[in-house]
Amino acid sequence: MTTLHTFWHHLRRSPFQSLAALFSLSISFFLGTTLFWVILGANQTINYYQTRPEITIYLKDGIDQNATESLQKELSNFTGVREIRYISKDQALEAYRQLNQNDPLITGMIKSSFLPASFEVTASHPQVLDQIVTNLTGKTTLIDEIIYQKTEIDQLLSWLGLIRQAGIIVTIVTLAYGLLVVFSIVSLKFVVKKDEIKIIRLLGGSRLYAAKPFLYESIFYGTASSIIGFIGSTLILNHYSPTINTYFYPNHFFPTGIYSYLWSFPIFLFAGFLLGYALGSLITKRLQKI
Amino acid sequence: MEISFKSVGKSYGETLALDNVSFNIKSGDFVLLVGPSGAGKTTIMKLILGQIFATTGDITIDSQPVDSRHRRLDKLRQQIGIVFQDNLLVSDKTIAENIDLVLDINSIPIAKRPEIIKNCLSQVRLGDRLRLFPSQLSAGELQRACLARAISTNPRLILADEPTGNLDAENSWEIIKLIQKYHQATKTTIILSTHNSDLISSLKYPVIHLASGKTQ
Repeated sequence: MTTLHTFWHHLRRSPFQSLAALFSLSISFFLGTTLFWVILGANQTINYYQTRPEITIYLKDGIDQNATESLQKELSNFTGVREIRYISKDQALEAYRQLNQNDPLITGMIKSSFLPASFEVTASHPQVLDQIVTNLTGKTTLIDEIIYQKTEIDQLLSWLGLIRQAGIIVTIVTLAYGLLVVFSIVSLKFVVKKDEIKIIRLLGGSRLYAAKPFLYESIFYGTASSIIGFIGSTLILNHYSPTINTYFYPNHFFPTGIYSYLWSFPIFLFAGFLLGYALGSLITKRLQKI
Repeated sequence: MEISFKSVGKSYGETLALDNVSFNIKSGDFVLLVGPSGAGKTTIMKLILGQIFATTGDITIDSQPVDSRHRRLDKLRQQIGIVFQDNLLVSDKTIAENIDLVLDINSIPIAKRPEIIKNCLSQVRLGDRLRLFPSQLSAGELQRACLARAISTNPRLILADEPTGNLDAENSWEIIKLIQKYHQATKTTIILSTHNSDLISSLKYPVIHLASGKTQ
């Protein structure tokens, strides 16, 4: 009871130092939590595209049915092709209408002849699609355009790689800064309380007993910061996730709904506790000399 | 608590603080440790508390050696009440909180503490001072608060190192009388160090004379 009281006393007696420590570490946890969700979302998005390799082959206008069937046969001869779906001009128009059902002006103006027929090809592996694209590129009399997501995935990969690298560096730097601030503040309090610690030791208090208030303080900074960082990050991500997720539709880059984030809370709480404990142990190691 | 020093020597580098000191203190004794400043009185107190260890010789408390290998120094200290010249009260805790601290160290249940604190402070006539901080008390009151803390755990030994060193004659006698009264009531072993010749001549207790680190 007295140890907890002493810990609370330490916080109250120097509220600005305590706030500075809490604020610095909270920023680190905020960045750490955000980075965690960005990396998780990135990996999930990459995985989504890589496990659903797909190309769309738009056909030239006016090609006859024989040429279309011959192309479909050629596509089915590639090993590793999972599905070939023919989208006629009428089906394309139907899909277009569904996508723009809220805008009758546009849907009313568009006719099936405006839209190209196409093949949607999915494969078990992106390399199969590479091969198809290479083989079909020269067939300009039949094919108008081939849309292949490889470039998009590659771009996404390079962007995410950059974000991940920068995020890790920024998080490490701010975490080091936050830990340094907490270390300095708790160490300062420790030095100021050296006489009190000596008295406690003389009265028969163990080293652990004398160290407890400082250990509690460090653990408090660690856990409270992880909670603040988590809440801040979750609220912001939850606010912006609908906008960001539309770019990656139908995949979800960030979880939808605030409850989807909660499973990770114990992880961050534990990380905060562990960091605080490690830091407190490091500071109170000086007690060996008292 | 029985204390035995056998040919104890303690040196700080080249300086010899204690040289071949031997004595025995039986359980329930009230012993005066007498000598001028620098005679080695505080060194003996520190050796008993295990703050420092003897360079030569053997110290035993209740037949248990007190040396660097002692694993239960905390437990030993919990059985000792200390009243030092520089009172050793925690400055940002009230008098009641200072006593509560030692009770907490001794794992006294929280429910019992207010009653103990009240009793101890009333024994030293500080019942109305429990919410004050050390800086708000006079020198005499500080030593009485220190004594209250020392007796709060019913110690088996009280070490009083120059408890009257900073006090005027009136306050000095008050502290000594309180310690005497406690000894008569509880038969706790007490070692009181002083260089005050008036006190020494007035108190009829066994005396260990020290001079330049040697017993005489």
